[in-house]
Amino acid sequence: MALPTRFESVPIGLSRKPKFALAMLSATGLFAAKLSVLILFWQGIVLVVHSVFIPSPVQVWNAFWRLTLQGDMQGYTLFQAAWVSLLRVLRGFGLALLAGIPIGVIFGLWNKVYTWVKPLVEPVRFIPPLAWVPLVIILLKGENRYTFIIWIGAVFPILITTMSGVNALEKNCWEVGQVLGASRWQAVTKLVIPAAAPHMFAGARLGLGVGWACIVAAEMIGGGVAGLGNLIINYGQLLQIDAVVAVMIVIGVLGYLLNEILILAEKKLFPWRRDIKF
Amino acid sequence: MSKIILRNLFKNFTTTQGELVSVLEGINLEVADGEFVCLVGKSGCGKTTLLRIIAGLEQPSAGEILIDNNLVKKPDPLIGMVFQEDRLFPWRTVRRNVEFGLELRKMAKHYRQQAVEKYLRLVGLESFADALPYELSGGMKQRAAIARALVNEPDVILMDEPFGALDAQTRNQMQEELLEIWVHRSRTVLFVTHSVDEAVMLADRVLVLAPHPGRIQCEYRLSMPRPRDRLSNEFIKSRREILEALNKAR
Repeated sequence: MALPTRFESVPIGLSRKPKFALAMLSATGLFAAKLSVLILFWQGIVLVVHSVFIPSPVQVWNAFWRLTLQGDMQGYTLFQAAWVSLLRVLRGFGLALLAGIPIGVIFGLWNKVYTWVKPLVEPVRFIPPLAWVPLVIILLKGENRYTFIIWIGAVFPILITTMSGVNALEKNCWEVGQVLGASRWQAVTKLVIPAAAPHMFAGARLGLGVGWACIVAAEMIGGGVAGLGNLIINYGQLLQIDAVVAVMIVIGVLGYLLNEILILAEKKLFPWRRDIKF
Repeated sequence: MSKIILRNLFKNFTTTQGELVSVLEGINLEVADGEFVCLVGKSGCGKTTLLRIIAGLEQPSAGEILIDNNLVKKPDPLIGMVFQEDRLFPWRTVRRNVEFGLELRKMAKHYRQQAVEKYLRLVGLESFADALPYELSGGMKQRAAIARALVNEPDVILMDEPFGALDAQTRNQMQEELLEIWVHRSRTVLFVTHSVDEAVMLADRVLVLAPHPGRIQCEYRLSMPRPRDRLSNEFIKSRREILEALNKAR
């Protein structure tokens, strides 16, 4: 008769862990299932089209490991290439933050300034980063070339969202600041900026995404060694499409992970914003 | 000596059609130091506009406002205001919301904390100091907003239907709490409401505003001792009188 009581005395807290593990397991299983469908679909296309220019999943997998373990024709491993590219993107992105946020705040606060420079600034926004490549080759050297291409891609999303974020403060809250005796400077630093911060952050997330996507365009220019973009261009010229696809996937997955990290940070930084989902 | 003096106050608006609308017409009012005055009137009679002008948030078209014989032209931390909506800053905790006015005045952190604690206790929110506004109920939010206005220790407190969005029970409770705070600190209060019951419960003096254009129709002095009994004959009589005046005001 002692058996049932022993079962009953198991602490309730313990049951949570297996549940969490189970949830992780089912999430992993679901992801594996989705991935298998994609790979099967891909393999199907390879079988139907049957061209040397369409690599199979296995070929791409092999190319991925070859690049990871042995490196490319210059001996740089995939990890080194990704690291170099990440640093380039972060440099361009950092400078885009330094420019985009203050300029966005100025444009948002003094709409006259924005209206005045709008016809000069707005068209620049619509010039694709790729179009800057020839000019950049002539004007800049080495790493600065990469930095500029990524900067020009990242700066506009940051600037535009900051500008609109500056107007996010409700008039109601502004009035409370007035009634409590805020100077204009205090109203900006203590009300406008905190209210705009989530928008700035969302802009930064967009900017980092665009900057990361510009890495191939940037590294097309040449001038520096290694990099994911370099790999794509080099292997593309050799028509080794399996390696190209492997690097494409790496670029995609790393960009996705960067974005996820920023979303996590967003939730930590702005607990008062309950509407962050995406 | 009067704390607040309104002299021949006019306010006109121009509509989008270019029509000139008179919102306030010739408002004259004197409020004594420490007096609790309620303004009642139907919606659209300009009572909110009047309060916003006294707060310095809007400019009158003509006339002047004097507080302690000083002309009011812009908002002043010594004139506190509580709005109909709580208007708490969503990114600040309750504590940091209440602290805001002191932060603007660059008060040392130590004194700031003491003052915030004091006013949080006064409105019964000391255990919610670190909560974010969205975690609070409507009544608690409005308490926080009141604490935020009081922490500056203003001489004059303007309240624009502060309990208008609350349910009946919470509202009655908040009225009692407000009176307790007022009795202990004897600040001058100008309180706008559309509820005659609320006005009779709170005020030393009730002013009835008539609409189109907004003007003071009549005033009632209430000398009943506090706390007032809603079911007493005197309360009901005052309520009926003011309600009748309000219905006639047009």
